[in-house]
Amino acid sequence: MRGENIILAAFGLLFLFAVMMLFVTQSKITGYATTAQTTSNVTISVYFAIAMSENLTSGITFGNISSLPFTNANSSHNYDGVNTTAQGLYNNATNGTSTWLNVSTDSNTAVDFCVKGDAALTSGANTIGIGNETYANHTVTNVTLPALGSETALTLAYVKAGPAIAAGSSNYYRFWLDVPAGTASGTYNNTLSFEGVSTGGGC
Amino acid sequence: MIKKDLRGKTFFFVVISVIFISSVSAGIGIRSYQDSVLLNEGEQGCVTIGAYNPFDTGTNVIVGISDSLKEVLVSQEADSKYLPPQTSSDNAIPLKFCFKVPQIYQRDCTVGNFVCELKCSEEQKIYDGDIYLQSIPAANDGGGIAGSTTKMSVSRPLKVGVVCTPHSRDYTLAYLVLAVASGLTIFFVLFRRLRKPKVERDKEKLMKLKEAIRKESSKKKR
Repeated sequence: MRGENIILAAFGLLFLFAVMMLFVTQSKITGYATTAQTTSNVTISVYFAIAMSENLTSGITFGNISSLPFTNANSSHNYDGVNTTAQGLYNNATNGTSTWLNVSTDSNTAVDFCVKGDAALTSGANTIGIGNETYANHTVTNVTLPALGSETALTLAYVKAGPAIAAGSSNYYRFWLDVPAGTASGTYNNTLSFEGVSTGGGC
Repeated sequence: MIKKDLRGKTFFFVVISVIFISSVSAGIGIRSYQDSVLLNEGEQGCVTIGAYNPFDTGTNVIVGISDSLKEVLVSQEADSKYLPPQTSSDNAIPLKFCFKVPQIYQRDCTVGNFVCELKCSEEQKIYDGDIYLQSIPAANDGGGIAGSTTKMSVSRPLKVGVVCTPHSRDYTLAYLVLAVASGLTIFFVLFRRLRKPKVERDKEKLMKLKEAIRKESSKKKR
C-alpha cells in the first residue's frame, strides 16, 4: 500500500510536469529570430487563346498502307484545305492543308506552338518509332507549303514548332509517316499534343 | 473591269474567311493573374487562372501542372470544366487549382521523425514549372487506319517558393507521451485500488491498524 502511494506520487508529479511543459512549449516563442526581405511586384495579365481546325481535332490519319516499306505517307488532310496564298495560276485552289492551329484575336501576346508525341505509334506489342512520324509547319498554306523538304521528326518531349504566331493568325501543319519494311500489320495509334505558350516562353 | 476584279477578290477573301471561321473547332484560352506563389511547408495554397473560349464551340478542359511541380505540390484538386463558346478574355472563368506543399527542408530529429529542429541553413527552394489548361481529346476513328489522336493545351509559367520557418527542437510530442503514460499509470493504480470491495478494503485497514497497535504495545513492553 505504501509502495503504491509512492508510485502514485511519483507519476502524479511526472504528469503535472508534462502538462505544465506542454503549456509552456505552446505559449513561448520557440523559433529563431529571423528577418526577411520581400519585393513587391505587379503582374500584367497575359492572355491568349488557341483552337485547332476541325480536321486536326478529329485526329491525324494516314489511311491504309498495303506495301512496305512506305516513305512519307501523307496524312488524310495534307492537301484538302483552302490555300491562303495564290500560287501561279491556282488563285482559288484547295490543295493546302486543312490541319492548322489558330491564335484568337482575343489575345494580347503572340503564341509559340510546341508539339510532341506521347509514345511510338503502337498496335498491341508492335510499334512504329515516334521518329517515323514527321511534320512541317508554316504560316501560310498552298500546294507546296508547309513543305515536305522541311519535315521534322516528332519527339516524346515538347519542341517548339510554330514560333511567334500573332493574334488572329494561323499555323499550318502537314504530317507524314514512314513505315519500315517488316512492320507487322495492325492499327497503329498514339496521341500528339500541341501546346500554346506566350512567345518566348519555354515549352 | 478593275471594279469587277476587285469585287471578285473581295468575294474570294470573304469566302475563305467564312470557311476558316466555320471550320475552327473548340478552343481554349488562358489568362494568368499570378506567375508565382509563396507558401509555407505543409500549407495549402491555391492558384487561380482564367479560362476562356472565344471560339464558336464549347469545350471541356482540365487544369494541371507540369511534372517539375508535381514533386512539391501534392493533393491537387482539379476537375474538368466546361468552357462555353464565345467567352471573352474579359469574362474569363476563374479556375482554382489547389495543392498542398509537403515538408521539403531537412530537419535534425532526435527520435525518428520526432523531436525535430529546423535551422533553415539551406537556401530557399523555388520550383519552376507550368500550369496548363488542356482539352479533353476526341477519340480517333481507328478502324484499321493508323494515326494519332490530338489534344491541345495552353500554359503559363508558375514559380512556387517554399518558405523555411526555423524552429528549435520541438519536445511537444515527448511531453504529450509522458503526460499520457503517467496519467495511464495513475489511473491503473487507482483503478486497482478502488476495484476491491469495501469490506476487503476495511479488512486491509483493520489489519494495518492491528499491526500498528501490535508494534506500539511491543514498544511499551520494552
